[in-house]
Amino acid sequence: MLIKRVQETTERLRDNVEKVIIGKREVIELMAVALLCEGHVLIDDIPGIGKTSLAKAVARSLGGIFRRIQFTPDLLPSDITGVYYFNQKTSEFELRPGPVTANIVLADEINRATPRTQSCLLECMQERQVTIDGETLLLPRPFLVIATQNPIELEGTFPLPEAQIDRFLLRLKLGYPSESQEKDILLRFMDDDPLEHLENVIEAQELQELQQLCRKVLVEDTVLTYIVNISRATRSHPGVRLGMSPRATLGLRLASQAWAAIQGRDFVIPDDVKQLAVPVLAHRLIIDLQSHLRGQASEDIIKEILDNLPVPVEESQC
Amino acid sequence: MKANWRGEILYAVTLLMESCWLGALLLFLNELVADGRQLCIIWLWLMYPVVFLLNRLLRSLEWKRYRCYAINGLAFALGTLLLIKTQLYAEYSLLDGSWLSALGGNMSQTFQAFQPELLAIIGCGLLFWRGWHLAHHGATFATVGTSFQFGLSILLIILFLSYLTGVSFPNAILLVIAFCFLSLVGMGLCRSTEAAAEQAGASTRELQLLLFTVVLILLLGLLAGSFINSNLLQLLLDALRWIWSIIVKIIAFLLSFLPEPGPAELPPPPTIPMPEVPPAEAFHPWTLPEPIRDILGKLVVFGSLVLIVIALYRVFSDILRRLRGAVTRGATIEPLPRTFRANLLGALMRLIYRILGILFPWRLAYRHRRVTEGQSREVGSIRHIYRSLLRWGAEAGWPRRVSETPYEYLETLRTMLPADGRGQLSCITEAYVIARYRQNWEVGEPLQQIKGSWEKLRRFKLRKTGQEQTHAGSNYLQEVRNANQTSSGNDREIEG
Repeated sequence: MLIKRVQETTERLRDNVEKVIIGKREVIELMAVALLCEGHVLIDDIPGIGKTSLAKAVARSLGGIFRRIQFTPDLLPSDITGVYYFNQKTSEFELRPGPVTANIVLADEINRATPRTQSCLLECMQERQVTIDGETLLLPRPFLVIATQNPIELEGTFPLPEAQIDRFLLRLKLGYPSESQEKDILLRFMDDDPLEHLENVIEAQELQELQQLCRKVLVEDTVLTYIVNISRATRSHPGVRLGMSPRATLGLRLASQAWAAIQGRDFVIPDDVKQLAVPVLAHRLIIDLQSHLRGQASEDIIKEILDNLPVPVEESQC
Repeated sequence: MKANWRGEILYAVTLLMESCWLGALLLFLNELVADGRQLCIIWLWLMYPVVFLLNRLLRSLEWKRYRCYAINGLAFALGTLLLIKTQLYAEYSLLDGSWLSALGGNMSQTFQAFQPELLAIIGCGLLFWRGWHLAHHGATFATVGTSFQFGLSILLIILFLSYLTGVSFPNAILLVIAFCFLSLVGMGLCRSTEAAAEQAGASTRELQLLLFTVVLILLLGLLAGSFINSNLLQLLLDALRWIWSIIVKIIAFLLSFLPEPGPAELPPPPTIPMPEVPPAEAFHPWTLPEPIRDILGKLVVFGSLVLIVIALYRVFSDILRRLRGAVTRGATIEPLPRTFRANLLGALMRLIYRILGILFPWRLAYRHRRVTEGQSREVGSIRHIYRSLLRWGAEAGWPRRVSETPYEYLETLRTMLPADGRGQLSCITEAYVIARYRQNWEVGEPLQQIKGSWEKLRRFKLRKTGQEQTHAGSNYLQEVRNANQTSSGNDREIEG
């Protein structure tokens, strides 16, 4: 049972990350989904919740190169992608690769950079390559961008362009911890930062093998149709200005496969699709002004669609 | 107001629909009457709308039941006697009582031969029954559906009997086509009424437009067929000829202004032997050539067949939908669009493959296998069990919602079951999920165990409390996951 390997590895990863992040098991599992799909993650929540800690804990749990970029308004594209500089000793132009050439890139406070700088990640995120001075370089695999952003602060921030938002497989929200969890956090961080002692539990090579396994998880034809129907329903929903893209449909299928594998199944069930629909789709929808004024969020629309769309199940006998 | 209008149309359509099979029955029986003393069926049939209107009037008056029965009985007796008198004993005067004795004499011979008096009595009885039924039950989907089922059976029996006995009655095919067409219209109207009650959607408007177009074309066709004859065509052609002659005269008048060319001597034309051309047949524009008529005839037959097939398909699919609704007591469950079509096509495909497999076993056997290999016997059995479970749940008042996954539905039913039954329910759901979404049964539990679970489960009764349905299928999944994690944690501890 090869698929059990995915489950076991995910459990190892989860246990490791839980040494730092307390009480957010589902979010950690969704991070594992992103790793297994090689999809990028946008962690969107208020300050001080543990976004960066989560990203760093996941990155440290993985072997491979990890780089962090602190996005600021004066950050330039070449600061991310890299630059050719003139080496006076050799009298030649030499490449100084940017922090994007890593396995895990943490883009902290991504919405603080200017749109020009943000856009330099588009090629990296979709094609897994970077172009510097007309020369295209392949990025190391697996390649994953974990970005964080703060939805509250608007001053000095630049909203992410739609093209970039669509490139994030998942958008995660951590939320406040419960009372007991918060107490556990206090105790856990009493002596020192547990992040410092975190070991890697999964190698990049192993992760790539698991990614291949996840792609072999069976998605039955009617479940595929169900995914497509969700996608189409978002496009025709009256409260939505821009529905799901085919990339999002593909992402939902991939994420469902990974989720099924994490549960130890080698086939996808509609529950997997429902479970992943909000994290995969909600950030890609653009709702219209009226829905917005009514206080309807994109998550509500996705849930409404899921509550009305027929699930592929047996019909009762007549 | 619109609903009333639709309702009245539906009454008319149902009445005409029933008239088709009643008419066919009466016409067939009329052909069997002894001594050529046949009735005029139109007069007999007129009893039907009269009875219908009479009963609607009685219903609106809200009289007591026995009074209505008495009036109906009286009307039946009078109507039948009047019909017999006007149709069969017209030579006697109304006040002459001797026709009654003649009627009695003829009735006594009923056992020797089928007398028209008996037909009149049977026909009047039938028409009274149907008229009373329609007026009291109203024109609803149930009435239209029942009329269709009953009428179709009667029509088939009549056609079969007429084939066996060699008795042909006029307009048999026309009545069948009209019956199918009217049933289609009736069903359309039922749907339209329902949809109007719920929401005036675009699909309803499309259906109405379609129905209107079909009705318009048929009416125009009937009008054209009844009015256009050879004289009318001749008149039209004469008018066209007159207009053409006027045009020719105008052209000739204009040409008269041109100078005439002088006479010139031309060499004699060479004599070329010309092949003999058979004299062309006179072309009569109002009589179509035989091949075209043949093709048109075939087209009409084909169109009629298509109409019958569409009517049968639509009506049966609607009946199936209604049955599904009835089974689940009107609860909102999955509408299963195209299920009937899929089932029908699936059955047809299986039949075709079976036949081809018998004819060409060496070539098509593998294709048949490919069609059926997707579903092994175990998978089919488990899906069948789950279908039964869904029906069981629906009958108990807890139908599966359209958007519920098997695990969510499991969570709904678990709260309604005693603790003993929950294990069986989980076992069946687990098995179904594997069978349905994994499409094979290599890893599942033995089929007998699942059948046993179902046998035990069906003995339980679901609680019919007013408790709200919970749709947290993930709770069960979460429990399963927690159990797995606990077991894996224990394993690790043991290893440690």
